[in-house]
Amino acid sequence: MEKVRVTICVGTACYVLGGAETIGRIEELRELFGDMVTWEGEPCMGLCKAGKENKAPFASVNGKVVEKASLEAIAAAIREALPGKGDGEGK
Amino acid sequence: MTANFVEVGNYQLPKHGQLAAGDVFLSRKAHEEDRIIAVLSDGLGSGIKAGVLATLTATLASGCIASNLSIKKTARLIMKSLPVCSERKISYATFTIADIAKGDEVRIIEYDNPSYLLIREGVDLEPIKAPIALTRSGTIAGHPKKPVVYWSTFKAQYGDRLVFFSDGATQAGMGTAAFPLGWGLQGVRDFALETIGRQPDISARELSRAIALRAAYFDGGKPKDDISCSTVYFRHARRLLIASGPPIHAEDDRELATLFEAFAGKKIICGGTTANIIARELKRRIAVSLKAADPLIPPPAAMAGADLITEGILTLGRVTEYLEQEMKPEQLPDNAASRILQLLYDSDTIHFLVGTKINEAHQDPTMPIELEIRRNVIKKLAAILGEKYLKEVSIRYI
Repeated sequence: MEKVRVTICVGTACYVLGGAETIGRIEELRELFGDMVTWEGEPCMGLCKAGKENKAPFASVNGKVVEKASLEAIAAAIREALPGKGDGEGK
Repeated sequence: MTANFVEVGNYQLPKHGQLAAGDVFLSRKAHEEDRIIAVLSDGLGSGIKAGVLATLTATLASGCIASNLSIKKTARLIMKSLPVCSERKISYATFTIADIAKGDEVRIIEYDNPSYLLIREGVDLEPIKAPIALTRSGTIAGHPKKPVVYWSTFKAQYGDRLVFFSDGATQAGMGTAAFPLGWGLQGVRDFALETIGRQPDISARELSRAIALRAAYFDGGKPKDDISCSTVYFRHARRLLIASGPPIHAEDDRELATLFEAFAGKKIICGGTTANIIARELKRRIAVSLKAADPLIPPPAAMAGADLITEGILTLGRVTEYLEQEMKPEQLPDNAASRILQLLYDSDTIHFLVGTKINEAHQDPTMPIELEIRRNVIKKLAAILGEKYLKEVSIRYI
């Protein structure tokens, strides 16, 4: 099974706009998703200066940008990316 | 600048039962002349009163010498200025002044402290000292009758160590069976030589500490007097580069990376964008740890060819605070800022390579905290490293 890749921006703007809290609680998601997900940081995704002001902190899940990346937003994006999504959800 | 880097280190223990040391050590840099002045003064008695005498003496001495006042005038001014002890009716504080210019021109002025050691190639040299008798105009009650200061000079060579200490060291253990007359100058000298023989690269502070602690040990762990030891170590500089900030013109990115790669010494990158630029230009990968997270300091990262990668402004601001508060890395949690602090402490010359591009995202008024402009943060950091920590600092803007 292909693992879901999560990248979290640890640049200044993201960190002060909520990234610190996300990273501080990252263990919760590690426990929740176990080895289905790989985690890494990124020094600066550069998105804070790319016309996406007010959308920090940023993360990405399998390359797809997550704006206002709270723990919950990242968890939702991971669920979206996990295979088998949609089964029984009747969307 | 000469090849020598002048490292100054000191260690003090107050007399047992006293909260304050009556010995005072001061060292300062006289920037304009590439000069370092270090003074050790031992005030009469111990505790606060002695501390005041010694502080006055050390401050006056370093100030006078820095402004090129003659030795006689300096000594006379000190003796005139000290308040008279109410118990003993004399005012008195000893001093040793080391005035080091251009990294190797050393002048030493001594008054009543134990003689200094000049250790070169494992041997204590004994420079010739000229006695200067001070003539006293007028009457100043209670001063020692004929004060004599000793003046000596030498050209320091690479690897030399200048060690000086208060009589709390030489008189340690006095009255014990082992040292009826105290540890003595010979005892301190032999111990210093032996310690250097065992640890040829021992730092100035560590050598001072070893000597002071050994003296306290001979006093049965309870110093009978203030014990101070200071060391000046002439050695090669340990170099550190801190690259922070993207160049103002993107076409200089290549140069930033080249300068970084070519630097001989330890290297830190402070700033996510800066790290990405250097990694891109050098075709390397950055691994960011999500561990060692601190609520205010983003986690550190690693890349081949860099000793440390951190976030920029928040981390550098924290490092500056640590330096202002004289924090030691071992007292601090492991985070990116304490790791930078450790590297700063372990370096003598620190070069900042600063990109001056302003990060627009940081100027956004909706930011919950005010982010300073990089250039100002680095200027402040460089100033404190130079003035308070006597590091040799340079800043290059790109």
